[in-house]
Amino acid sequence: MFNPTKFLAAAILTAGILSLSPSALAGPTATQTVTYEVTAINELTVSAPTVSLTVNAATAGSAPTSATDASTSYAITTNESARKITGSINTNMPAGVTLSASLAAPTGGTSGGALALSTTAVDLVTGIATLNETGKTITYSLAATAAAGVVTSASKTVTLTVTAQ
Amino acid sequence: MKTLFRNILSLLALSSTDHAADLVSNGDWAETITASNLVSGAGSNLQSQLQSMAGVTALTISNAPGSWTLRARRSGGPWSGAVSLFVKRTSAGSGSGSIAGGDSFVEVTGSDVEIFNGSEARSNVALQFKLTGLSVGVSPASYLSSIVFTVQ
Repeated sequence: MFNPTKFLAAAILTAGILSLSPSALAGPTATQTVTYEVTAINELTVSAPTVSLTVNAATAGSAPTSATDASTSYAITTNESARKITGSINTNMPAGVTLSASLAAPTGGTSGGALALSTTAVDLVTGIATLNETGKTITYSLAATAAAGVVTSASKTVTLTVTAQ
Repeated sequence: MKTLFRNILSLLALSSTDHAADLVSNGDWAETITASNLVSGAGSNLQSQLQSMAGVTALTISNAPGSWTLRARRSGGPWSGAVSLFVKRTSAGSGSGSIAGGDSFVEVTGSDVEIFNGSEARSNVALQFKLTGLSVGVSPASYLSSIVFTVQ
């Protein structure tokens, strides 16, 4: 049997519950997330794209005089530790001709000195960690034996790479 | 019947009791820092500061019976100790209430700090974040933190 009093009570109860719902769902606190990712950064550039070296003189009785160029430099940024700079050329030098490179070490690093370049990478600088420096001198040297004879002009692409030690 | 009415009265009393304002937020901020963030390429350091776009996060305050203060804190990690997070308000939003303060960057730390204050309801209050202390000394990794906003 329909009871108006109970019906009214149920209706009021329902309204009361509904009136509570919004504050039950929301609240005085909210949360957002801030995320930032730092990727590995290993950047190296050189100050000039080309260097020319010519061996064209000798002291009588001695091997031809090497040509040296120290006009270029490199800049490096790395946010990783245990890095090194390797060097290589795209094709090997002809017999009796040697192209060497020596890189000044950035702070904390160790230069490998003048090293002959070939298609196999050599370690020009080791022990590099989290730094950014500019103006580090690159010294190229071209040497030739008398037995190499006259060598026609050629270009080599030198690749310097920052990589894991 | 008495019990029923007692329950009804209790619920009605609860529903009319003053309560803290409600707060809803929308919009996370995520950034990836790469070599493109170097000041001037190889040899340079990372830009020390990085800002989100204005309004990356929006807050809505509702059911506020009177004046309120909005606070924020960082929670969780991992987070680089060299990096600081700041937030500021870039819009007043809209609504019947008022809003003041927070239009300069405020550092968000592990403790609640006031960002701005106001009264009654405000919708879509825009926020902007800023990171400082970035450098190549910050190890490559993913860092995150929850930003807990509280309105009281």
